[in-house]
Amino acid sequence: MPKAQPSRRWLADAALHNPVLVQAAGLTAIIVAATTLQGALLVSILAGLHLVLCEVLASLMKRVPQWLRAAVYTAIGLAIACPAAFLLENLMEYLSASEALSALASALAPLRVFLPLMAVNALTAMRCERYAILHTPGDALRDALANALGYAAAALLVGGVRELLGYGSLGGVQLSQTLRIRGAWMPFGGFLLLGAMAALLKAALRALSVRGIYRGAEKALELAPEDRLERLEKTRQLLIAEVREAMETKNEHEMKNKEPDKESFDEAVAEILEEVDEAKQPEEGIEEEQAAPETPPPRPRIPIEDILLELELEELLDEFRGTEA
Amino acid sequence: MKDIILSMLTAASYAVFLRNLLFSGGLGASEVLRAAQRNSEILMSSLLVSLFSGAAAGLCHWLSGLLSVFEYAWLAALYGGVLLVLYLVTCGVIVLLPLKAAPFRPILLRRIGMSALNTIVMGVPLLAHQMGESLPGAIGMGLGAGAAFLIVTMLINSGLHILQQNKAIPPMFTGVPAALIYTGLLALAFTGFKGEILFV
Repeated sequence: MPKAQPSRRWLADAALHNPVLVQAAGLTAIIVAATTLQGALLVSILAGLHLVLCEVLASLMKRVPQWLRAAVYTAIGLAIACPAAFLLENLMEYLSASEALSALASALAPLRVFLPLMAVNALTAMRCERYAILHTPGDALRDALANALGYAAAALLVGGVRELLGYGSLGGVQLSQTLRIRGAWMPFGGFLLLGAMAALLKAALRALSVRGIYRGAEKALELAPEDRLERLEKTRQLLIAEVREAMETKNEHEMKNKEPDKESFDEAVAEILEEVDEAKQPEEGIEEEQAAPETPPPRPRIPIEDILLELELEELLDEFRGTEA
Repeated sequence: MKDIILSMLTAASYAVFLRNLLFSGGLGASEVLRAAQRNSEILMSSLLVSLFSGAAAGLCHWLSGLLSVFEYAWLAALYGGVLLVLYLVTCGVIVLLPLKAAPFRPILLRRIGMSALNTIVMGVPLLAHQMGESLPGAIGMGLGAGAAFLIVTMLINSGLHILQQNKAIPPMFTGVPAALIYTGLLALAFTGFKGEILFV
């Protein structure tokens, strides 16, 4: 199978791995601030900038302890969000004074309180720790752009619908005088709308992949086996490195004549080795498939389940990091 | 002393019920959904949120009394800096723990990262400043944020268990969509506590 083109992979990542609708990350900004189209645009720009800077930096900070990296992400977020809030506050005075731009001023007014909170966006920390530290700066940049695109798409959709339902306008242009549902711009409206959009996205992706209606999209949505192998190999190498580190820690204990906590250490090593074995299994499945070219072409696999399998590996890695001795 | 405790309790109750930071304010949605999926993390995460919110709110209130920062953006930067320092000091203490506590170090550091650096903990001092709370009130609001986090996470956790077992849910709604819609319905209920009007 040919390797997916970078441009199609971006689209695939933005849709299949949508940070908001699939990964449920970075929800706060969308629920609180994306109540209008203009607000959603501002939130998308800031979140995208934060994500790109932090992911590229995280890919260069592989040796820095995880707890220190988290502080760096927040510091970068503060350096972006607080000046943005300052600029917006000063811009508000100018916008409010102008009759033509007063609608924009009222749309952006709620944001100046929320903007500084974007410094602690959960999406940034998640993508940096799950992806950026395992990849090169180039791959991290690509991932950041894909996730920023997906985030912006979700935010703009939500912002547009909430503005239409809540204010009867779209992008500041009044479309209806009678339509006013206050609940649309309240947090619960955001949650319900996001849930409905997530369901629609899931249904659309399943329909595209299972029915093969659009073969181009199906190929674009599936990662090439070589890419999957590469990701699994990197995960396995990371796990093996952590086993080695755990063994070195045990040697340090013995050298200092202290009784290591053998039971928890052995349990942790057993868990790691189990995860290394599990990481091998999808690869064996792919190797068997490639070794049997005469067999009839397989039924189109549902890419969502393949991707979920890979996500489960990353979840296991997260859990392992929380339980290592 | 009675006034201090009353002030703290009032602010905490406000943060839990009348203006639930999560359901009515929308803060910490991602963290809550993530914590709700893991039973073992709920209590510890709530405790850490409570501690960090209370400490950050108290420190920020004290600092804003000392420094004359009037611009909201720079006040937020100051509060963010205070939270960062608090987080780094806590992590530093954990890293320097004696070797016997070493097995718990990675778990603690990971949980603290998620519980300290999020929109709830950073939002509490800002909210307390906006509402003109006193020092006990700000600390009480922080503690209330932790209680709100606990209640919300337990509600969502129990709901997720029921949703996962319900085979009648169409495939397109399973997983994240169901969790978001369920959270939205809970948020609607808490919005009712505020007496909001939904239709103009």
